[in-house]
Amino acid sequence: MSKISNSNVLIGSTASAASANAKFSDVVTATNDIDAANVAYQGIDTKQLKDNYLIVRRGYVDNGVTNATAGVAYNMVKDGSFNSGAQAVNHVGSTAASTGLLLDFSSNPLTLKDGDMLRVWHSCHLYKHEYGNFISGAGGSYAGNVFYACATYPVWALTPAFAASGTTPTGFESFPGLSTSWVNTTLGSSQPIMIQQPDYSGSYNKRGYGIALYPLHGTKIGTSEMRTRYTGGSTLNYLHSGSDLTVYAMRVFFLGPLQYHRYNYGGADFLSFTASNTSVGANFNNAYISHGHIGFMQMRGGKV
Amino acid sequence: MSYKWTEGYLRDKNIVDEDEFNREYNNHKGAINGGLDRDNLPVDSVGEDHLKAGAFLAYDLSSPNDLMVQGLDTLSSSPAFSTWDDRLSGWVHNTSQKSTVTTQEGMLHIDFCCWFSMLTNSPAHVSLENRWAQMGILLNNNFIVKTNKLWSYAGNVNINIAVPVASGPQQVHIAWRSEAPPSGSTMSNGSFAYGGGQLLLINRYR
Repeated sequence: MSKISNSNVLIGSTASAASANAKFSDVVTATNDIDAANVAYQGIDTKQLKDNYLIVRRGYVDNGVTNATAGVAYNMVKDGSFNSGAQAVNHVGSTAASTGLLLDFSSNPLTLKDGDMLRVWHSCHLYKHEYGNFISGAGGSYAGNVFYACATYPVWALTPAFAASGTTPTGFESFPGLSTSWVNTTLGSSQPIMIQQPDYSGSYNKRGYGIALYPLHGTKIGTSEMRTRYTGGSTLNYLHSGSDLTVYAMRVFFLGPLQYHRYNYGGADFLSFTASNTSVGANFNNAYISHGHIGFMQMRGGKV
Repeated sequence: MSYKWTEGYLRDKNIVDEDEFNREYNNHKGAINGGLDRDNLPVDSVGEDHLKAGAFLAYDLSSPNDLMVQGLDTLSSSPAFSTWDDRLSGWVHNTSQKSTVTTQEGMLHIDFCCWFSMLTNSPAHVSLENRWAQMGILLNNNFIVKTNKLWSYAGNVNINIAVPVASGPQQVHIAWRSEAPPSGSTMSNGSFAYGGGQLLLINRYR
């Protein structure tokens, strides 16, 4: 509180230099502690603000569309190849120096403060895959009568030791609120890779967010090529609470083919996107992503 | 407009009139006691440390848990979709997918993202048909945005809209519908599912 509360000089009272100085010392005190009590309603304009506080930081990576007629191949997780796991979307486009859909903050880490909102969006274009017989023909049925999809999803690195190149997930983890095994690669042999729901131990109707799905139907070019030409994408919102959190990188990973269904492992039920462990899944070889982008926005100045 | 500061001049360096002193002093006092505004405060004078938390926006973010919880027979069915017994036609307003916030006058930015999956061709369906689904956002039970019809069997919904709002409580929720069941379907057949939904509300003050 910094309002001046002293009274006027009374008529007839002595107004010496000392008493006048004493009154103006209240002004000095008040002006050293200017707060909301001093500023008029709607009294601050944009020009008084030193920085932009709504959007603290933002950025994006755009890989261009220079390789749209071919794409980059990613191995599908097939029956019998369960350890392939998720792969970072890497070197999309024809730029040799590209690190793919990576936001690298290592030189200037992102600091999330209490109340900060982090928004991450990404999009990829699935150009084709190599299972042309996924659809038997025009108007035909899907092989296996099961719908398969591919997925991409963002992850972040809270350690400076992350894999900025290559396709390994080293140093990256799922966003809070999701199980640390959002992408579970630790199941036993002959068990599928899954994108599982968070907090699965307590409830079975929760699933991960920030996942972008890519249907695998398309135009059949031949038995080993189906042209999907599908652009998918998602937005993930994270509201930070607590002490400052440092983010060193964000990256997009790819996994597929997946099925959405209930899966039981070790006596527990999972409602999840699960990598194929059927013979149909073995027919999916490579998926080709031709371009994509990732962007983020850090917002501040809000309350929950 | 706030009081413009001027340099005071005391006649003969002495204070000879109480009224004159009080008048000058009260001008200063009035300006400081709640009268400071853009005319007094220097450009670039307000920094991060001076701003009160929540000075510009109010957020409301649905929990990271899945929003679609109604109609999913989650443990006994695989895949876990809503069935025709849950909904046969028309819009489904899922009351568990509701965010209620008290806004200030300004703009309300609404953002919703989820994945969806639709059973257009499964063992449960005897015919092969292209089918569609549709999703929308309602503000105070009025549609403010709808997607186009979604014809793919899997994909994502990303909806963004900003609408002006008055002060007071506001309710936002998600609704969806899908095409009527194909011939030969039974009530227990699966229909539609979505998950991973996040409903984000940002109230930007006037």
